[in-house]
Amino acid sequence: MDNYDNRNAYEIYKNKQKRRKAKRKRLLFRTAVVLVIIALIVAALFSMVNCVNNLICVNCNSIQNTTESTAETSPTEKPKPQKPAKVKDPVEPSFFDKTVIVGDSITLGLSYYLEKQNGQGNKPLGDAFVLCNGSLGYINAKENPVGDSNCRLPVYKGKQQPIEDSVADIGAERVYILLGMNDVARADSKTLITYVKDLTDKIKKKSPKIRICLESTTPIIASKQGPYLNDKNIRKFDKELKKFAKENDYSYIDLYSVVSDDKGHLKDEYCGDPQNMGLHFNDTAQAAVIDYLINHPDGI
Amino acid sequence: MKKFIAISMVFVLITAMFTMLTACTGGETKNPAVADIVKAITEKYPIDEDMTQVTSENLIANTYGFESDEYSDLAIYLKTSGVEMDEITIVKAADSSKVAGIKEKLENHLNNQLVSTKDYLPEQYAIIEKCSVVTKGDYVCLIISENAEEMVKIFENQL
Repeated sequence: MDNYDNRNAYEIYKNKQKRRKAKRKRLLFRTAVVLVIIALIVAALFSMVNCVNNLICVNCNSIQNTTESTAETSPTEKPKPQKPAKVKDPVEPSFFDKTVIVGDSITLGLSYYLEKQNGQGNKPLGDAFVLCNGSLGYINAKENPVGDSNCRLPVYKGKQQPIEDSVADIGAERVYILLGMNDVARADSKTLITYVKDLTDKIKKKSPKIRICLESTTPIIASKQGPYLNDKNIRKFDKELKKFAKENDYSYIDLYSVVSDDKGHLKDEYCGDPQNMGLHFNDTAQAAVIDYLINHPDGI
Repeated sequence: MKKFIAISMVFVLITAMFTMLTACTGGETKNPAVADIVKAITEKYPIDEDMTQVTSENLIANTYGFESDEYSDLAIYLKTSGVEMDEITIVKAADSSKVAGIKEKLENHLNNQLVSTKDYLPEQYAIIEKCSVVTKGDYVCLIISENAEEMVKIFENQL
């Protein structure tokens, strides 16, 4: 009887253990299922947040680019036809909105100066468009056309093309040309003027109503005068350039006088590369040139 | 059967955890902002005070020919002296199909700098000759500098 009771109790105990074990297993199983579901939900949420963030960034860029590209219409709009006129009085920066400035590395310095000014919220020459290339000159503008391995023509919208084409594409009403530094050592003044005529004729042909303003080639600091590239030859060329401008009713801008010292050389305080070529402008010089253009947009 | 279900649950749990981790960290290191790449470069090779950041859309479009829908991010720093051609240009293409076009335009710009300096700035010409346009993923980079090689390595390490 006792044995029977003990066996019974043991079986009851064993059954109880089994039931407890089964209950634990069921609990564990249910917990695992819940954890998996939670993990899946969290993973899905994170993926969605990332996707939404990326979409927002892409849309932000699209909206920004669309806004900026629709705002950028002035370079390709054709100006209303109007007779070019000489201006004697000082002008507002907006006067230069439909102006192109063509030049070499000296003008490249102007484009960077204007960029810095723009970054500070200033637009001293309005929306003037600068078209330049480092070693551009009157001679190579003609002698080294697009496709030539030594082509120095300025880039417009990422591609080199003739200056007259770029000026026309921009729809400029005025063009200022500051070239000559890369020419003076290559040819005499009278020969150079034939290249000036070639370029200005081409510009006039493509843009009949444009006002052409020829800027004098500028000087070099005293210590960097060369055997051919020197202020004596620059002044000779500028004299011919001034005469040519007068004969063709073009404006002549005497920048030489603006930046030279009493000995006729580039002022030391205006030179941005005294240890190098001694002819590029620093920001002080660029500011002086801009001030002169605002006060004498067609020269004196 | 229950064992099978339990093992499947564990597998699903691990997969979910993996997905969660990827979602959290996937975008950060592979798509850095261009400004962060520039920062990494300039921490070792500081930008000179005569380098200007170009932000004008006109100047960017004119100098490089980039269309606004070609890129989603870019940074351009240029030396403004007119006699030094140092440059840091990093562009993130809007998508992978635009990379080749951006690369070509930067190569045209590099060639233009080469031709411009050939006769009158031989020292700059020698520096530019050693530089090239580099791409990695959707990023395109042109660095003109005496330290271009090392700076490009920093660019590549950021991606």
